[in-house]
Parts: sequence; C-alpha cells; structure tokens
Amino acid sequence: MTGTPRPEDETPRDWFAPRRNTPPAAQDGPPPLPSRHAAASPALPRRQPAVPAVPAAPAVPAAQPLGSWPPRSRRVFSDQQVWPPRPAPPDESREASTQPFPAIPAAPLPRHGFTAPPRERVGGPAAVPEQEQASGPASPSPPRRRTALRLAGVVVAAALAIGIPSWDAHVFYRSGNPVHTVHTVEPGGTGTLMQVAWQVKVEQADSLPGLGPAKPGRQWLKITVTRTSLDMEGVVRSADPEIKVKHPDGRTWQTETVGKDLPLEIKEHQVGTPYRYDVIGVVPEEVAGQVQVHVIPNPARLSLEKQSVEELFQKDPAAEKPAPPDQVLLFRR
Amino acid sequence: MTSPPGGGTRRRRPVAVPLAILAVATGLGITAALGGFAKAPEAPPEQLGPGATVDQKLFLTKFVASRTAFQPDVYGGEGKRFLEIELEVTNKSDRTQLVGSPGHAGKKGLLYAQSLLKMTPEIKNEFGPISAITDEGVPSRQLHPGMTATVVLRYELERGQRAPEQVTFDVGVFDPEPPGFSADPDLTLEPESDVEGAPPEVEARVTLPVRRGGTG
Amino acid sequence: MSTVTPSRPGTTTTPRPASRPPSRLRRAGAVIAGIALAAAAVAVQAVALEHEDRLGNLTWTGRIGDEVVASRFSARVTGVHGAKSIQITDVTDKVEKATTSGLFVIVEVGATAHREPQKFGPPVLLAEDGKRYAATDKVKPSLTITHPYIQPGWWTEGVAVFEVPVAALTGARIVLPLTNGFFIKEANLPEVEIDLGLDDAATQRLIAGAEDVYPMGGKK
Repeated sequence: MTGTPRPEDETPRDWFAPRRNTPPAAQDGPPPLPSRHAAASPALPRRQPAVPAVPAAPAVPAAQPLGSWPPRSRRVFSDQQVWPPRPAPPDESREASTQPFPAIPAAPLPRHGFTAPPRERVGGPAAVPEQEQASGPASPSPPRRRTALRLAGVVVAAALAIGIPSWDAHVFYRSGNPVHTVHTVEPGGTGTLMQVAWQVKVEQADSLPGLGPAKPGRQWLKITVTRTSLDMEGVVRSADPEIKVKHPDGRTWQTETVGKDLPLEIKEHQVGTPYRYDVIGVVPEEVAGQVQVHVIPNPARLSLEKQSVEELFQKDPAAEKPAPPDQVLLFRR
Repeated sequence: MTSPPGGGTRRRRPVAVPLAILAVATGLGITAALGGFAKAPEAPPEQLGPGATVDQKLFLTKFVASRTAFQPDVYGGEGKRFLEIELEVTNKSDRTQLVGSPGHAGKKGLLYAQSLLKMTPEIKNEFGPISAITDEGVPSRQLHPGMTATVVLRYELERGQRAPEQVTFDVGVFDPEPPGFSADPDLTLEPESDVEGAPPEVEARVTLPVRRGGTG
Repeated sequence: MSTVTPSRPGTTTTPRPASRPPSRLRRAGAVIAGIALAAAAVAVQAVALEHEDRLGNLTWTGRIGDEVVASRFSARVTGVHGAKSIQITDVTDKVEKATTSGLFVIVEVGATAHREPQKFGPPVLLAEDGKRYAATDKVKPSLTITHPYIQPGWWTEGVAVFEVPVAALTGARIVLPLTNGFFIKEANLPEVEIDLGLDDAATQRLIAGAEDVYPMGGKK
C-alpha cells in the first residue's frame, strides 16, 4: 500500500478512495498478493502482467455484495464463517470467490471446540458450495472427539490442583514435625549423639512416693536417664531432652521429669561427669515389660561463657553444624 | 451476531454493546456525581451521659457509673486507690469473647475493650487499666453470647494523684462482617473511612461524673 | 455435536465436504452453555471453603453415652449436671464460690488416645442456634479435662464446665478439640462433637435438678 506513486499516478493521491489500478473490492479483505508486491517494489517498472492472471480477478463480482458494508468482513469473529465463503446470492455466479490463492489439496483439519477457526478448513474454493449441497446431513462421518485426551487433561489438572497444596502443606508440617532418625541402643548400652553419651535404666514400681499405687491395670515406670558430655560441644547441648515411652506397636506414653541433678549454671557443667534425670511414666500393665524408652536430645546450643567460645572456634567446622532436631535414641530392654 | 448464512438480506447493526456501554457509563457518571461509593459522611458522635447504652453491633454496652475506690493493703501498707468505671456489657455476637483492655496512652486496646477508644482525661500509669468481671465470686474475663456481665475497668491512681471530676469515653462500633478475604477471628472496629489504616469511627462520647469516696 | 465431517488423513486426497455453517440453534446453545459455565464458576467461588473451614478441625459426632472414635482419640460423655454456683477449693484449702447470671453446666467426659498422648484445648458448648460458649474461666483448667494427658490404654475422666443462659441449653452439644502446637499450627486436627441429648424435657430436668453449689477441687 505504501511506496512511491506509480508513473501514471500524476494527480495527487486520494488515500481514501479506491485505487484506480486495483479492483475496488480489494478493501474487503487482504489485498491480492501480486498487487502488494508490485507496489512494494519500486524497482519494477510497471504493473506486472501476472496480475490479471491470478484468481484474484474473478473475486470482484462475488465480493461486491459483501463490500456494501466493509466492516463486517474485516472484523473476523471466530464463530463467523469467512472460509469457505458464504453462498452467494442467487443472482451471483457460484464460481465466484475472493480467495486469491489456490486450494490446498490436503485432509481437512477436524474442527473441535472453539479453538479451530473455521477458516482453517480447507476445501476447493470453487467446489465447496456444490459439495455442501451435495453432502448434506445424510453422510456425516463420526467426528473425532479426543475424549481420552480431554479426560487425561482433567485428571492431570485435578491431580495438580489437589497435589500441589497437599505437598506444600506436608512440607510445612514436616518443618515442625521432622521424620525421626532412630539410633537403636542395645540393652544396658550407651548411645552417643551430639557429643553426649546417654544411658537409660527402667524399673517397674508398684508405688511412687507422693503418688501412691498406680490405678488398676496400670504400671508405674521409674526411668533414670544419665547423660555424660564427652567434650565442650556436649556441654553446649545440655538443654533438656524429650523422653518418651514407646511400645513397639507405636503407642506412646507421656513421661514426666521429676528431678535432675544437672548444674543450674552451664559453666559448672563438667565434661565426663554423668548427670541424671529422674523420670516417671505410667503405662498399661500388660505392656510394662515391653515398652522402650526414646530419648530425643535437644539440638539447641546453649550459649557458653567467653572462655569456652575459643574452644568452640577451634573445632572442625563440620562439627559446628547443628544436628537437625530429628535424632532419636531407642533403648532396647 | 451474524446474519444467517445463505444470503439473508437483513443486516443488523451491533447495537447491544454500545448501548450497554452507554448504560454503564451513565450509571457510573451518576454514581460519581453523587459522591461515588464512599461512605456518606457520618453524623457527629452522640454525646451521652451516665446510664446511657451504646449499641456496638456485636455488643450492647451500658455505661453505669464511675467512682473512686480504695483497696487496703492486707500486709499493712498504704493500700491502693483506683478510678473504677462500671459497664454492663451484653455479648450479641455468636461466640464467647474476652474483655481485653481499653485503648490507653495512645495504644490500641484489645478485644472487646478496644471499642473504648480513648478516655479523657488520660490517667497515666505504667500498666494501664485492668478490666474484668468481678461481681461473680471468681474474676472472669469472658463475655458469653446472650449474657450480660458487669465489667469493671480499674485505673490505678498513683499516690497524690487526684481522680478527675469526670471522664469521657470515645466509643467505637464493631464491624460484624469485617472486610478481608479470610474473616479475621479477632474483633474489628468499624473505621472512620474506607481509607486503608483509617482510625476507628467514634460512634458516641459518654461522659461519666466520678463519684468519690467509694471503697474497693 | 459438530457438523464438521472431516476425512481421515491418508484415506483420500479429495477434499471432503466442509461443514455447514453452525445453525442459529447451535449458536444459542453455545451462548447458553457459556453463560452456564460462567455462572457455575461464580457459584463454585461462592461455595469455596472459608479460611476456618479449610484449616479448621475435622469433627466426629455422636450422642451422649456413645464412644465417639476420632482419628487420634476417642471420647464419650457420661453425664451432664446443672449448678447455680460452683465452690472451688484450691490446694491451699482456700475456698471460692463462682456464681453466674445463667447456669453452670458441668459435662463429665472421658477420653483415651489411640497412639500418642493428646491434650484437649478449651472445650466449647455449641448451642442449637450455632452460638459457641467457651468453657468458663471461673474454673481453673487444672480442674478440668484440659489438664491431664489423654494417653493410650485407659480412659481419662474429667469435666468441662460452661456458663450459659438457660435458653441455650436445649439441643446443645459439646465440642472437644485438641490443643494445637504453639509455633507450628497444625491444620485439620480431629475434634469430637457430642450431642448432650437435651431435648425440652431433659432441659427442664437439668434446670430443676441444678445443684445450688457444685463442689470442685480440694484434696482427693
């Protein structure tokens, strides 16, 4: 459309009038390719002789009725049929077409949903109106619906919609409730975690001072947990552990620490000296001989006095990493 | 939208969309001309006196009285003096609410008592007032739905500090359905305007004369 | 559904008839379907779970006397009493008497855990009209079912004490939730909701039989 005026266009160009040397109907759709080509190539001296030979020429009569209201044919809606062209009014030739390029003899694309615009359908421009009349609703071949693909899409979307929030919630849950790594300790043995050696002794008691005999069907347990710091790193980890009583079938009972002889000040805490927690628990009588003690050391690092900090800095950096709060010592009986 | 295929001679112009746009634009214009969707300016807060009842939507509060009180020290000390304000509070919400504490020293209050936005004159002390239901044997801080409780606010007076002649409360109103995507379980006061972070609306100002000489 | 009659690839190179243009009926159907889908989307948004529904507790229900088995614990209600006042004796033998403008409702509950020790959060009395009455703070939690650990292997008995207007009694249910973590809040914890069986007649009996003073605490 742009370009230098052609030699014969001596008079000022009226940009809003149809060009004299092109068919007026070209405004109704994409301009015929050869015409554009000629205008955009000023090197070519004159109108190319090929222009009238292209099928754009027969388009003129057919397009004129549409041209009575140009905006309708310019604004293409997906649900508006632009191709193949609508059957011309009876007074027009059936052979007419605005299509400037020839038919592509390939299998037509199946139309489905709202995605494929009708213009993608391919057919012989001249033959379509006749074939439409010929085929009619009598011989439809079954449309391919891609039911399996759609179902798969629904399943995948639903799985993602449920799965991603669930996974996120699980990660959040695990951030507060980590999976426990169990370190098993043989009966009477010593378990070492985070530079602290732990020992456990379990006694069954019929009666406890201040608490009296256990209720019928239950059994008091007196548990003595002993901790020995192997070095200053162990001293730093002297926050109180969590102590539970657990049956191999997974049932767990609460315990209560009734006494401990750890020094109140952490600087009085001696390396190599055993300190004791006195713990009581109550379990059903029938499992009193089977339950095992779980000790979950507290991974918190208590702050020491200044003189100890130097010692900490001398340590190998790998040992500086705080262990995750998920290490469990299981003391077999 | 389009003519039936096959060469319909009638061509309809698409008028529905322009008409709809025109209608919406007209409506918006009228709304804007009338002041938009902002809240209409409220009437100035009501001025109330002793015995007045303020409907706070989620609560009904009767401002009963204000008095000074003295609590002797059981260990023989000087004892403490208080300014007491007595309220009768009915919980109209659908769950048990806690009394909380009134706004004090420029800070927002909590829970029910946050609706007592401000007391003038302010009584300065370190901890602010204590608020509780004290007339039912055991002190309670719960306001159960559908029940009326006598809530007492106690402002401790420092030694030598005189209680004011009268106190005035700025009283706010709760928003039963606070805006927001997930309903905040906390109580929310109705704001003065729709602007983000606007201060709470003062629904009423209640002035109570302080009766002197009572004992705690 | 489609009026397209496509030919299968490879079967022929002859152009097969394309579709007839969509009929007016079909377009109307498509418009109606579109409106219906949009309306359905709005409706689904409207019924989307509220914050509390998404993160709130999962509730197992039952009636008084039933053993209600929830995911982590079982609970039952063994009795309901009314009282006009409660006399509380603390460990130092100091006696306090709590009164109310309504009625104290004392619900006897028992519970056992399935695997791990559990602890109850503050119980709630859920009235028939949906009002939620939290357990009264006039009775210390140490005297109620919220204090002991609920452990596997045996039933732990205790009480929950509420303070309600008499009108809220008929049709009331007790809700027993678990305590939640302090830092990491767990969503969808189990709770049980037990109907106290207070029909009109039972409510009248409860009110008529309310004790003037219900003693709690003291040395056992």
